[in-house]
Amino acid sequence: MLDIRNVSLSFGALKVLNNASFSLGKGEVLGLIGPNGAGKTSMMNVITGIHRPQTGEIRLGGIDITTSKPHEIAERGLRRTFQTSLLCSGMSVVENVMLGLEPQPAYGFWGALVGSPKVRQWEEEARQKSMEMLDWMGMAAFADRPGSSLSFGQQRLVEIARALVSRPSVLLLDEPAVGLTAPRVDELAEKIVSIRTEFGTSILLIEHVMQLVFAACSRVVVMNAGEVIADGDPKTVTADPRVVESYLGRGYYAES
Amino acid sequence: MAVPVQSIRSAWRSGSWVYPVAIAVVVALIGMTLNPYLLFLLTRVVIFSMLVAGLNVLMGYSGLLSFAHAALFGIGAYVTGLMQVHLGVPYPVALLTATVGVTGAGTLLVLPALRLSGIHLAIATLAVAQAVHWVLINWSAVTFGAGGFRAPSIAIFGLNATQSIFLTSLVLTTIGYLMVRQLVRTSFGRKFVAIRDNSVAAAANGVNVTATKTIAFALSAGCAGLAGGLYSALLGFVAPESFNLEQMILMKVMAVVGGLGTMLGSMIGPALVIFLQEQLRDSQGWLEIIFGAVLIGFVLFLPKGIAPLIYRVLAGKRTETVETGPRTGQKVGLSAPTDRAVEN
Ligand SMILES: Nc1ncnc2c1ncn2[C@@H]1O[C@H](COP(=O)(O)OP(=O)(O)O)[C@@H](O)[C@H]1O
Ligand SMILES: [Mg+2]
Repeated sequence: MLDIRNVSLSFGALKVLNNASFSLGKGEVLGLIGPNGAGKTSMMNVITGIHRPQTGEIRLGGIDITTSKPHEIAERGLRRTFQTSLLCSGMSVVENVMLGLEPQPAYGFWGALVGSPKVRQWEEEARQKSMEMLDWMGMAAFADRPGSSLSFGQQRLVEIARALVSRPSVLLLDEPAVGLTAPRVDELAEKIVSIRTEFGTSILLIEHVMQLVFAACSRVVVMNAGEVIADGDPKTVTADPRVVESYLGRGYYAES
Repeated sequence: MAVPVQSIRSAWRSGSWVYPVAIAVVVALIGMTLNPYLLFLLTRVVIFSMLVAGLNVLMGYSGLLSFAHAALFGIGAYVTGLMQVHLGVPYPVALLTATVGVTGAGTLLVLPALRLSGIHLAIATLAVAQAVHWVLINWSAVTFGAGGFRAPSIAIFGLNATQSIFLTSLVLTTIGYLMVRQLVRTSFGRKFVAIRDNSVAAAANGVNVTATKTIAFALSAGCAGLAGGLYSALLGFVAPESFNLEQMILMKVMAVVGGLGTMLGSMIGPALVIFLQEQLRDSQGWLEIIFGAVLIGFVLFLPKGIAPLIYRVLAGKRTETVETGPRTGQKVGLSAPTDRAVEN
């Protein structure tokens, strides 16, 4: 579904991604883990067109998107959430989700100016779809609140609803469990699994909370200092000495 | 007397055209009874409302700064006036040409806006404004230079010149207002707010940021051009100083005082500012100081302007609140314009 081939990215002298490769299969939930500063978010930014890699190639469903613009990539059915993003404060929660139904309303500028029946119909359907999506995420009660009035964890769930409302083929989640309590993390893990089973979405999940990674992911890629250092099923990967050394820490097995 | 607050509120929120049109009719009737001087002032309010509505889409909804809109307003006035004077073109044709032309010119302002934002964008647009001003003053063969020129007035239905331009402006502003208000309640409004609040997230959700900025500039320029064309017929005399930086600042004060990011604010701001301007006519030297103080006062104490207060009165006290969650369930959103957080 998503192929990352030999991608390198530098900011000036700082090499953030170093010849990194991995791929996300259709209908797979793939974990991307690694220490802070490993380049996980940068990888997601490269995939979504926010940064352009100096070398390498990214393919989405076989199509080269390496040099595509962010909105074009979104249009091709790849959506994401952000590690530190907030909802738009000037819109209600449901309007924030409706934004996920861009880019192609069935009407143009002139239709919107005069408020044609087509416009009203599309808007109504969009609102309904967004409400259903919010409901599915358990956030329907917040629909009419300002986006900024929600807690960080709640905004994250709405952001997932926004990313999903257009039924993308690929979803990238950047640390969705930040700000959630342990029972909420379990709920989120269930949600992520049902995103895959109900919508057939392929998911790339960046996460530090190993509880979530083990519960949701069938495979894990580990990054360190811009390189992919391990790729395999969660059990094997977390037993890899290099992974234990660089990320999980020597105390990992003593704890669990 | 029982006022059906509930139905007024829902009609207003549903984007019904009934109330704005009813208000326009009342304004028209009042206007026709006013003496020429008061009618002149009222027409100024109407024309500036059109301009500020467009500016509001740009500054309030989309979060893009511009200091060029007084200049665009000026180009609208000059093109409309000069086409009649030099080419003998009828007013409606000149007005339409000016609107289309200014829309085109204003759309080009998106070019700096694609690379710059905030203060850098403001400076770039300021440079454009100063360049336009320079041309108006120095290209005397066409523009009549610093002294300006007499622009033809209009007459419709056997009314006098001020009444004619008043009604024309009122009709066009009402239509323009309804259209812009309709637009910001659709996906376009969401895109404007999204590029203002978080353009990276907007793009990741499929919003074409470049196209959205272009539309915001085009729309605001179109409003400025049309307003300028109307203004030339109202003033009867067009000169560069009507469109200088001071006028630009006045327009910004109107937008901020009324309430950025609310359409109602586009009407209230010009009314208050022009009223205040009249009150202070005799103390010219104080005008700038007082406007400066008013602007600072609003930014500090009422950053959302007056419109949200009016919406609150119109809506009455809300009783329904959502039970769960951290805050009271006050409705917000583009189709329910109460409090709107606007940065700048
Ligand atoms: N826009 C940027 N400019 C310069 N350096 C950046 C930028 N974005 C990320 N970095 C650097 O790239 C490295 C990887 O960061 P990031 O991808 O956020 O890591 P992770 O998400 O794995 O914690 C860090 O050293 C960070 O400081
Ligand atoms: Mg990160």
